[in-house]
Order: sequence, then structure tokens, then C-alpha cells
Amino acid sequence: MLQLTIDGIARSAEPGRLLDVLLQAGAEVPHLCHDPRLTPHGGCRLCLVEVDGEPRPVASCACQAEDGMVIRTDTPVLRALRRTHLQLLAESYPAAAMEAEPQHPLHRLFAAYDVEPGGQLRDGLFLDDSHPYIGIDMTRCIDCQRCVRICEQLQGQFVWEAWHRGAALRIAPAHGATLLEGGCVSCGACVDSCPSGALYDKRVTVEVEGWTRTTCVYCAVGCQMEVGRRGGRVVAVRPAASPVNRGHLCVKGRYAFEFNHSPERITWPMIRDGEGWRRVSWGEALDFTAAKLRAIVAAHGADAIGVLGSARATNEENYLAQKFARVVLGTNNVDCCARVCHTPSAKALKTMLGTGAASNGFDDIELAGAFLICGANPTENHPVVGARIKQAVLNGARLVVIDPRRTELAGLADVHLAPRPGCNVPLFNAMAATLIEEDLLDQAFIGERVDGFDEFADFIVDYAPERVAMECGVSAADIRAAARLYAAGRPSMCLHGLGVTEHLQGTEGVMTLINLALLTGNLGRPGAGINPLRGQNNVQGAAHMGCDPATLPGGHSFKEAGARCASVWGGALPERHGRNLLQMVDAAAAGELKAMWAFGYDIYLSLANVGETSRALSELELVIVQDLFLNETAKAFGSVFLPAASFFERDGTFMNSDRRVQRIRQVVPAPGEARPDWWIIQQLAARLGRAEGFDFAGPQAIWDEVRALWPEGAGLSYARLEHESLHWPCPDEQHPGTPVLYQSSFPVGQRAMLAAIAYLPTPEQTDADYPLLLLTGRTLYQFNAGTMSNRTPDTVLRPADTLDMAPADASRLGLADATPVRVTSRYGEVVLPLRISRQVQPGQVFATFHRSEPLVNRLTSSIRDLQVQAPEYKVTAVRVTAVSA
Amino acid sequence: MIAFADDTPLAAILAEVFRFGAGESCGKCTPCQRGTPQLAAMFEAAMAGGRIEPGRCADLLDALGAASLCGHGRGLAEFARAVQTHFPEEWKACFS
Repeated sequence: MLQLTIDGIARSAEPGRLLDVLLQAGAEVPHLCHDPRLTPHGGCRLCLVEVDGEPRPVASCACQAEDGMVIRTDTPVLRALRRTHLQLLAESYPAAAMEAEPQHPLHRLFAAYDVEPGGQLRDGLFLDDSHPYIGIDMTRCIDCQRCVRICEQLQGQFVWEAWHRGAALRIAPAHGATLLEGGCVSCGACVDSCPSGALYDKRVTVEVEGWTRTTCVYCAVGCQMEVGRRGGRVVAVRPAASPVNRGHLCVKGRYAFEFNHSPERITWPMIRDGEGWRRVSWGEALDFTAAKLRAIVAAHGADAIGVLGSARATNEENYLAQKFARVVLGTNNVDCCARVCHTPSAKALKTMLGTGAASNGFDDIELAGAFLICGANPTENHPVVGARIKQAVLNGARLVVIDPRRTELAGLADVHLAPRPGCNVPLFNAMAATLIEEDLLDQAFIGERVDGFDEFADFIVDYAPERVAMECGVSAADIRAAARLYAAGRPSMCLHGLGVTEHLQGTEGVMTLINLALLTGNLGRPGAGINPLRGQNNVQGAAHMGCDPATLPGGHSFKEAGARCASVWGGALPERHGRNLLQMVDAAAAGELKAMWAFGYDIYLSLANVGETSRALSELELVIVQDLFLNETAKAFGSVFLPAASFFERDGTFMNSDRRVQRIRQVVPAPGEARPDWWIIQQLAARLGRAEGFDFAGPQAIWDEVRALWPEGAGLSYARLEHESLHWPCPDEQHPGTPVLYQSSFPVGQRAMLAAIAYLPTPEQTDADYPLLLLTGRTLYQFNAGTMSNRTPDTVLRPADTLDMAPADASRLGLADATPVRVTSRYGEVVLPLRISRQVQPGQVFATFHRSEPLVNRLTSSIRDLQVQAPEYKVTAVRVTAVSA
Repeated sequence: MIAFADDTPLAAILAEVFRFGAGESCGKCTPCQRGTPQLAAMFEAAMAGGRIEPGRCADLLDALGAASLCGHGRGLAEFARAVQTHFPEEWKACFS
């Protein structure tokens, strides 16, 4: 602790920036160019203070507090200097702005120093009214450059620039005539930092009544945010300080909230009678659903029903959903959307190491010497983590990107390997072969922690880079360079996405990545690890709570946790193997499954091969859809619609991608008769004669039962979650949580076994009729099925799904940019607007899948991961023709 | 380096130094970015026979000398103060 004297009073303070120390001590030091997220600037010269021994006042934002400092923060000299500076800034500031918003912090500062805006309009100001979210009024700019700096230092986008110098200095994009042309990714960080109102949120048009802290509902980074409300509506979102997002958000978290009050929200229960939906009471809807379920169980057995939890729902609700399936219905037919994304990762990690989740946390990003990013596009799909990786790379970390497309991070990479889709296993094996052949191993780690090295070394010889490079479509030299960077960077952090998992060998692809970490000692240490970037807010939690036919709450097997669950739930667990989502679809097609209950999940839109999904779902007798909107599954197949409360409208917890459990909190009341999922499940359980065990007063009580069943989560009480950001395992209330797994051993034992995985090419191959390989994926401005993001102004930023094609292919096929093209696979066809893109390699095309029309999953195949059956969304042979042809 | 004739009035030299200083300001700190051009304009006006408002000029020079971020602003203020010290008559003339 430092000892200082502030305005004559002795104070103790932690070391830090002097301004932060003064503000902490309660001194009212004005400042405009300071933002704690940024490096010191010292430009506005308002935070001047007098320090004994200094010849002139010092800018407290730009110097460190030192022991023994004697500081005066408010003297006539300082007040005069500050007033001069405020007068200079106010000369060009519009008076009308101050009149309209007297409570704005800058305007209060002007008033406090008796300074009046002069309104002398400066010339050459940047004008741009085209952005749907970010408003620009440069007449209010005070040249503090916070926008320039936060865009560089937090987002890494370098959109804003201080043009010219001296009095001619103007803030404008570095490139392009508009913010968006300048490469803006619409994260809103500049707006958030701007102290003058020159940059503002266009969609925030009313004064916020109050703010509530909660967790973002889009990707699984788990950003903490504050949500502003007025009159029962969500009207604004701003980033919160948290170790996860460090005061940053992306466009979706910050701006894409208007879906919540969409006129398309369904706010009462409905039953489909004949051809149409009929509004009913909750009583009728629940009675109808319970009677149907009871009749199906009586006629066909409990295994004729499938229950699907949801990434959109809380841990508490997913826990109740699987408990409902197992205890009320008596079936293990319970799964969730993890099946179609990272269940392969969870399976591979659980099998080889013992825990089906990321080994390290996002705080390790700044510790990594190198990154290996495989099949993931974090700057679009996990933007806040993407920005952190980008900053780390700009600060000197080495970067290997393995992705068929030249993503933004690939453009920054030391080595970008762009393999032919479907070739991850031979490629990762070739990296392993390089590590062994070139002795880039961590021998000590292998000696202490790894089994099966000799057999693996024999096996891997066949995958030498020179042998497989041609098949993979990359150069052997690049494979070797990638392996060397990964080995030399230690700690090297591997982050992977669905480009690894959504393949015939998805689980095995992750296993071959784990091999690389085992060989180089990149496990069990900070800044390293194997880290699946989970795609949705609570997809990790949904499966971890037991929405998986083979998994019980806590991610445990029946062998590990069966007895514990049976004793808490007061009855034996169903013994028959459950069906996973894909097996449910198959069973429906075969007439064996009669009912499905899906909440927060548009399965018809999401599953691969729409034709097959459609045939299967149309066989069902009962389809219960629980959602905010009448989604495509409900429209086409729904029998009952149960209106759910959104994440803004309920309490609970989400589990993010790096094993943190974080609170969500109700911001506004649910509209009409919409109810939280946990309430609906409990009501249905009661109607099926099982009120006991489903009579929780609320999410906290449910969570306490989860903690009782999940030893590694026992320490995660709501009381702690209020003020701590904890990673499980956290076995008791004193435990600090575990950001880094496997530090001394693996749950599978002291040593983990290398996996010798032979390459098995997918049967989905190109031929003369289908000469191009289609990959599907997400984009920055839209999210998955688009249920939420398509009901926001994000549609202005990304109005349609597109087919991205390399210029060479477009020219060869005579296709023009922005014209509709027909894409035909062996399974279906769609028409999409063409987007010529240099991100895509010749011979490949890329489509997003965020819209119900055109439904891109009409194209994808029924090929699935060999181990856990995630669909192979990433490889489909197609042909592309002009629509007129 | 600024060359001038031995009969160049100090107001003209002040105007030129501040014009040059304003042009060379990087624009990062408030007193230099926004204050220097005003000082240049004041001395420009004085050169043309106008009168500088002494309080405002003193405030701007105080801010520039005490609070600007680097030696550029401080040096400009010191130059003005040196004129005030060594050529008090001509300095005063700018204000009357």
C-alpha cells in the first residue's frame, strides 16, 4: 500500500494511476480523455493536480501514484487552468446540445466551471448518418481521441483516425467515406467511451430508468452487460467491467436486443386445431399437453418421447428438463443443441483427459506465446474473444490459423493453413508427426503425464507432412512451420470451433488436436490448453446439466453419478439408453418416436438435410414448441406452443465457454402470459402427477439442488456468483475456482493417453456434377437460426444469407456479384445471392444459414460424426449455376 | 529558425511565432491545440492595430506554459513571457 496525502488528508492506496487513486479516494478530479480501459493519453489536461516537488501541475491520468506523494486536487490555480481548457473546448461546442441534456456529464462540467458553449462550427467535420446503431454528431467532438484509442486498443479495428494536426485535427475514419466502409464492426466501444456525445447510440431514444447487470444471450463468451429499462422495455445495453469482457461488447450483445419487444412475440399459449393455431389458457395448454404425453407413454412407452433442452435456457431450466425426462417421463431421450456443435469436443476431452470442457480460461489469452486457431472465426463469432486474441497478436504473440477460409485472424497469422474441408485429422496428425520427427516435444511432460508415446510415434510416421500435404491441400513446409510455431510458443493456446467438430471425424479431429497439446506440454499450465469456443450462451451448461442421453448433471456418466441422482430424485433412473437428437429424428422417421418437446431450439431450421428432418418431424403425433416466437419448427410441425420468457425476463445462470457460471437477472417483466421455462416444466410435471421434486420456488432453489448433485459445482452459490467470476471445478464455498484444468493430473489419471486416429475421408466428395465444396457458418451480424438477430436492425447490416465464392470460380462460371445463384447439392437446392469474396478458396463456397428462406440446410447431408453424430455441416458437394440457367 | 529584419515589430514576430507554433502543434493537448491558434490570431490582430484583451491572453499563456503536454506549448509560452520581460513597452502596446 502507498501512503499519500490528498488535499491535506493522509490516505492509503493501492499502486496505480494517480487519477484512479484520487477518484477512488473520493477527490472530484475532472477528466475527459481518460478511460480506464485504455493506455494513458494526457490530452485534455483537466485532471491536472499539484504534486509537491513538481515544477508545474501534472496530468494525474498519465502518471503513477508514488509513495509519499502530497497532492492538491483543487486550488485556485488548478481551477483557473481547468476553466481555460473547458472554455477552449466549449467554443466549438453546440449550445443546443447543452440545453437539451443538462445532466450530461460534460454539460455538468461546463456548468460547474461556468463555461458556456460557443457553438462556433468547425469546418471539415466528418458526417455519416448511415449506420443503423451508431449516431455521429462531430459538432460535439472535443478531440479527446478516446474513440480512436478504444478502437485500436480494445477492438483492434483501427477504424477511427485523428486526421491532420493542431487546430485542423479532425476525427474521422482512416479509410472510406462511412464508418462501415472504414471497417467498423459495430461493437459500439467508441460510443461507450465518447465523453461528449459526438458518438451516440441512435436506437437509445429515451432516458433509462434503471440498469440491471446480466449475461449476454448470444455466443458463449459470456460477456457481462448492464441492461437499461424504461416502462417495462429494454431500451439500452452497455458493457460491464468483468474479467470475461473487460468492458467490451460486440454488436450483437450491445445492440441486437430489440427482438425482445418484437410484435411477433407470442405471449399466450396456443394449440393447433385442424389447420390453425388457437389461443388457449395456460390451463388448457398444459392439460392438453399432459394428456397427450400420458397417452403416448401408455401406448408406446416413455421412450417414444424426446425432450430437447436449450442453450437459450438457463442451467436451472436445463437441469429441470432432463430431470423431467428421466423422472417424470422415465426416458433418457434428452439432448440439446450441443449435439450439433461441440458435443464432439466434450466427448473427445472427456474421453482423453476427463473433463468435457475448455481446459483454460479467456484470461489466458494474454499469457499465451502462440495461438493455434482451428476451424474457428472468433472475430465474427466470438467477437470479444476475437478482439482479445487480435490484441495479443498485435502485442507479439505468434499465430497459426487453420481454416479453409482467409478469416480476419488468418490475415494476421504467421502461418495460415487452408486445408481442403474434411482433412483436419491428417493435417493435425502431420503436425504431430513433425513435432516428433523434429524433436519439438516437451519430454518432461511426456515422461510424467503422457502414455502411449512409442506406439503413437510408430503410428504417426505415416502422416509425415510430405505424405499428406497433397491430400490436405496445403504445403508440407507450411505444416512444419505451423508445428514449429505451436511448439516454440509455449505456452501455446489452442482454440477451436465447429470447423473441427462438424465433420465425419469431428470427435476424432478434436482428439488429434489434444495429441498436439500432450506432445508439447500445452496442458495444465496457464496460457495453453485445448479450448472449444462454444457457440451459444449456455450450450456448455445445457449439456453439462444433463441434457444429453448419456450424461447426468455435472457432466458425469451414469456410472459416476447414477446412484447420487437416484437418491436425490427419489427413484431409480431409466435404464434404457437414451436417444440423442439425431437418433430421435431417425426414430421419428421410423415411427418409433411419437413426441418431441423442444424449447428455445428451432430444430427444423437447424438440422442438416432439411428434407430428411421434415419427413421425420411430420411423423410425430405431438410437437411441443416452447419459444419466444412461432419458429419454423412450430410453423411446420407444432402441436402446442408454450410462450417462454426471454433471458431479459427471468433469473438463473448461464455457463460460458471457459467454465464460468454467471448470473442472469430479470430486467423487465415477461409480456402477456409468457412464463420462464422452469415454471412451465414444473407445471407440466405437476399435471403428470409428479409435483414433488418440481416444486421449487425459483431458480436459486433449483440451483441449490444442482450443487448438491454436482460435486465440482458445489461451491458456486448464488451468494458468491453475485460478486465473483468463478470457474468450476469449485467444490466448496471457500474454493477459489479452477481457471486452469489438469495442473497436476487428469481426471482420467496421472497420465493421459495419446490417440492414434487414422484418417477416414468423408463419403461426401466432389464429382463432375457437384464440383464445389460448400462450408456453412455464421457471420458477425447474425446469430444461428436468426430467431433473435433477424428481429433487430442487424438485418440492415446483414440483410440476407449469401453464397461466398472465390473471384476465379465466379469468373469461370460467369456469375456476377450480388446476383441470385442456384446452389444444388445431392440433397436439395436453394437460391442465394452471390457474394464474390477473396476469403474463399477456389473450389469452395461458403454460405451462412441464418434465415428460414432460403433454408441453407436444404443442402447439407445426413453424414454425421462417427462417435456422437454431430452433422457434417462443413462439407457438402454442390454445383452453382446462374438462376436463369 | 525565423529570420526577420531588425525593424520588424515584436507584435509581428509574436504573430509569426504563434502562427508557426499553431501549425506545428500535434493537436493532442487542449491548451496547445486550441489555445495557440487563438494567441496567433490575437497577435495578428495587434499587428494590424487591434487591441488584445489582456486577461484572456494571460489565461491562455498560463495554460500553455503550465499545462501543455510537451515542450512545444511550454516553449511558446516562454517566448511570449520573454518578450514581456525584455520588451515591456512593445508588449504593453499590444494591449492598448
